[in-house]
Amino acid sequence: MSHPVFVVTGAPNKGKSTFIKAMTNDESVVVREQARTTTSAKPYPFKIERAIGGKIDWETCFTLWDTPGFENAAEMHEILTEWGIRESDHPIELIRKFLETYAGHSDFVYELEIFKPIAGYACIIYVADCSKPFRKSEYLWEMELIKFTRLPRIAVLNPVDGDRHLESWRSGLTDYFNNIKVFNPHETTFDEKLRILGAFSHLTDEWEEPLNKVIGALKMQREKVLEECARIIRKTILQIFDREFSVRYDGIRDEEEHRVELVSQVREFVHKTMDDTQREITHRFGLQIDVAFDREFDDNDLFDTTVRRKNLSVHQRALINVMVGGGIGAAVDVAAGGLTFGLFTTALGVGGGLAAYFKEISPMDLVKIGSYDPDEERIQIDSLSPELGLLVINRLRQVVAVLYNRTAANTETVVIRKDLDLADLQNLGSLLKKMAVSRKDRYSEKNKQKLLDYIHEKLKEDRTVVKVEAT
Amino acid sequence: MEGTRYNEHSRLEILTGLSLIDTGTIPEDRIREYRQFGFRLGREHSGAGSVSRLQKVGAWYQTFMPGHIKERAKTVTGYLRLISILVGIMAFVTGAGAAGYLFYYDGTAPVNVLPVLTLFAFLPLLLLLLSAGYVWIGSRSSGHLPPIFRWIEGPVRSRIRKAVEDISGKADHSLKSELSGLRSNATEIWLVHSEPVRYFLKQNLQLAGTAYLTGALLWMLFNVITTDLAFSWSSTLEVEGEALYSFTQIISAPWARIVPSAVVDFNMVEATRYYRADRGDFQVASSGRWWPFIFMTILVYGFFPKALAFAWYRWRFIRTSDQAILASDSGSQIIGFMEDLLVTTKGDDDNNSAARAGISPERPVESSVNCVVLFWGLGGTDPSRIQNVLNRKVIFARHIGGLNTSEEDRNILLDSARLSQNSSHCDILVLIPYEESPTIRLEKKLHLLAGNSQSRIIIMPVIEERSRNCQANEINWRTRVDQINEAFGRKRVSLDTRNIIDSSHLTGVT
Ligand SMILES: Nc1nc2c(ncn2[C@@H]2O[C@H](COP(=O)(O)OP(=O)(O)OP(=O)(O)O)[C@@H](O)[C@H]2O)c(=O)[nH]1
Ligand SMILES: [Mg+2]
Repeated sequence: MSHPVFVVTGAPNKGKSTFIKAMTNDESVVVREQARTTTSAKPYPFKIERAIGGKIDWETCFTLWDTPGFENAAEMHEILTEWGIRESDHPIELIRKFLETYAGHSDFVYELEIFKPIAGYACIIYVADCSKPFRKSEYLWEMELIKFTRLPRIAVLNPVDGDRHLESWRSGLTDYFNNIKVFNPHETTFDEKLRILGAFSHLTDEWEEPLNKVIGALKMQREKVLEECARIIRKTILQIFDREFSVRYDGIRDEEEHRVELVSQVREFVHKTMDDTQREITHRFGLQIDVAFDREFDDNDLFDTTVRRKNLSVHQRALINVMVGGGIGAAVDVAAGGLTFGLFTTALGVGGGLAAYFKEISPMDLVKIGSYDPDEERIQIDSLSPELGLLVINRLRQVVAVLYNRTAANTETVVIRKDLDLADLQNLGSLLKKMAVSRKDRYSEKNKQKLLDYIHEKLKEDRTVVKVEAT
Repeated sequence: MEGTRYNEHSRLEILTGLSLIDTGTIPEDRIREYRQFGFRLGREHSGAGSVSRLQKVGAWYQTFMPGHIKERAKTVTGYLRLISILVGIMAFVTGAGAAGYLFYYDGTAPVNVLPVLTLFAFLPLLLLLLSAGYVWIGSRSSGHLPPIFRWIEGPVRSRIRKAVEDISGKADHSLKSELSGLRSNATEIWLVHSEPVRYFLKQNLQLAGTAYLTGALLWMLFNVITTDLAFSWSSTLEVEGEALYSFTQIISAPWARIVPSAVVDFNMVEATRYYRADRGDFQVASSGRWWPFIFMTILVYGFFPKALAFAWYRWRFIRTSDQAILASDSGSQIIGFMEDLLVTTKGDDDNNSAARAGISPERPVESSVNCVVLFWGLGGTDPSRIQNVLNRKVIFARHIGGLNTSEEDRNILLDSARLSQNSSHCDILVLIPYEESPTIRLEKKLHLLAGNSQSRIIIMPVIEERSRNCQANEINWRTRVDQINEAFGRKRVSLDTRNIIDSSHLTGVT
């Protein structure tokens, strides 16, 4: 099966491999500061799954080739033009002849690699660095060589270090290329990447369809990833709210020490969970990039210190115990068919009521963020602040927004420096409040769905407006 | 068929298994296997209706769920089920036992009707109504769970925690990767609090109630058949036979027509009053006739409501668990694994085979560098500005259509055709307003162009502002272009929807 082939060419060290890395997200592409990093041509097939002959198999839609830089384009051009070309021949015939004639010739090691995939008819992508000045004498022959092939071709200008010389490059390239695009693999967006693929598809009519297939598939895959991310974020929130924190109340240390221990327990857990989540998200995007959160959560983020938790009074607890105990007793009496004459009702009711008075109530008033469980002699946190849920969503949103547009070409650590304005999350406040406090609300399928939809919606909004600068 | 087993018994087990597995760490080749499996399932069933997503998850669970997790899921659900069965059996025995006591008759004191009815019909009904009230209040206020859940939470959770720790401990290395990040804490809480499990427990409580009444009913039947029971009614309160009679009339109203023999008559009520001191005019002979009434009362006021409540919770359980299976993180991901076709862009190390595959025997046609541009129906635009928008050299740009006469248009079109023919690699671009639909007038011009030039004719949409309805209009233009090409017998005209031009670039207004 034949499919479109695109060969990425250019002078040495102009970012050809970086371009490939950005387009493919393949971490194995070697990019280095020196020239001659790439020494042989390597294919990067874009494959999509399709049902072929009763099972699902890969179908290659098109192939992108990475090649070494031109090193002796002038001489090759000279030889080719010397050989001349008859009206009926396509220049590719000459190039094939050149590859045969000069196979293994040391003058043309790189050119032979570059033209190997081109000899099978391909579109040529010419990568140039438009932060460096356009010197015609330098690039003339490689461009002439590309033009000589009479194959469809496109120039991609990479502003490695700014686009000071963009205009001179543009005007210099117009004579040689049908289309000139500017593309920065380090700062690109996902849409921009697809636009470049779209530009490739215009080079020739026949190749539009397979490229569009890939563009569609990539888009769909991103949508799925975004939905997955929403689920991961929701899972994180539920995990944090669900976690039970408590410290043993020993009566020796003062309240403040207990409090500090409890708080650090919570903070550590939240940070660790966020870290795991961040890694999971990065993994979903198929990237290996570090993400760091610049600011730690403080007490105000973690706990709702403005609202004192309501604790039941002794009498209230006694009343509840009487009802519950009496209830059980009544059930037993009823089940026994009155044989027991209400004995259980009375006994359990009274017993339950009295039990409430034997229990001490104490240090929770002082700890303020939790309550004291006299049975276990532990101070536990009843619920975390719903605001914490907002903050977690807020930060993870930023991670997703950055990674959505990141490519493997840029390996810098993503640093989430600040928290966004919480205002656009306020709608979620009441839902999170319920979910933070009560398990029943947390596990209600309806609430879970609502939370998921909300996060997903936000992620979709964020991807076009990247609000974070990563350093 | 094998593999698509998805039945109600496995629902809870599947849900538990899904809550235990971490699908995020499953390796890619495994996922591809799932996809082949999903695809085969779909093919095998393409004739007889499609496979539902639930069936897919069920089949996946049967085939691919790691044994250790499956085992734990079975243990944990088995534990929940065992409790339910034990409670059910206890309820049945209690019901039968209570009936055995109440229906005990050795020829001395006859069986008193009043406590029988209270215990087996009115009290269960009252409790059912009370709990319905509790559920109703609970559904309106947030937070609090019925006390029963708080009682069972502790033991169930510690039990589940043990089971889950067991897997993590036992897991061999390959399994560990699939279990890493196992959400044990979340799982044990989930198992007590999730909606499906709550409905499962409620369903089984109602089942226990039903078992209690079944036990009572069966024991009563047994007694009715094997002994000659005598029924009476007596109360310390001075109740008139009249009052009791009208009470029984109200009670038996639902079945009075269907089972007339289960309705008591006034004479019988009067005749079966039993006094502790003297027996009054108690007639042992007619006292056996109470039994159909008692039986029906227990059946209609005790058994049926319980059975109905059971059916309701069972239905809720099935519905919520089906929803939860599909909506759960792992469930939705497994469906994704099976259904979403992937795209990969990774480098191919098998250099030569790829090189061979990469060689395309067809010769690609080069896009042209020059172009002739015709503006169709775009009054107010300036053709000289088109050069700024396009990446190719514009050798001729004119308005056609609009206020032009046919003759004027004809001249421009023939000029364009000639220019494009004479210049090498020259396309004819026809700019059209994308918001409008194609017309026959334009079609005729395109025919004229195509008849006089071999150049490619490309229709390029221009839009006022990035408006939404363009999506719909693309279909209009594409169909018309296809029709035109069909008329020519080959592809002469194409529609370029990728490079949509913003009309503000052509008017100079920014
Ligand atoms: N900051 C920045 N650096 C870039 C960009 N593109 C490429 N570089 C750097 O330029 C250097 C060369 O990049 P490569 O992709 O290896 O270039 P190449 O053309 O493949 O080089 P050879 O294979 O040696 O011919 C690397 O250090 C890249 O990090 C860019 O967009 N921004
Ligand atoms: Mg390279």
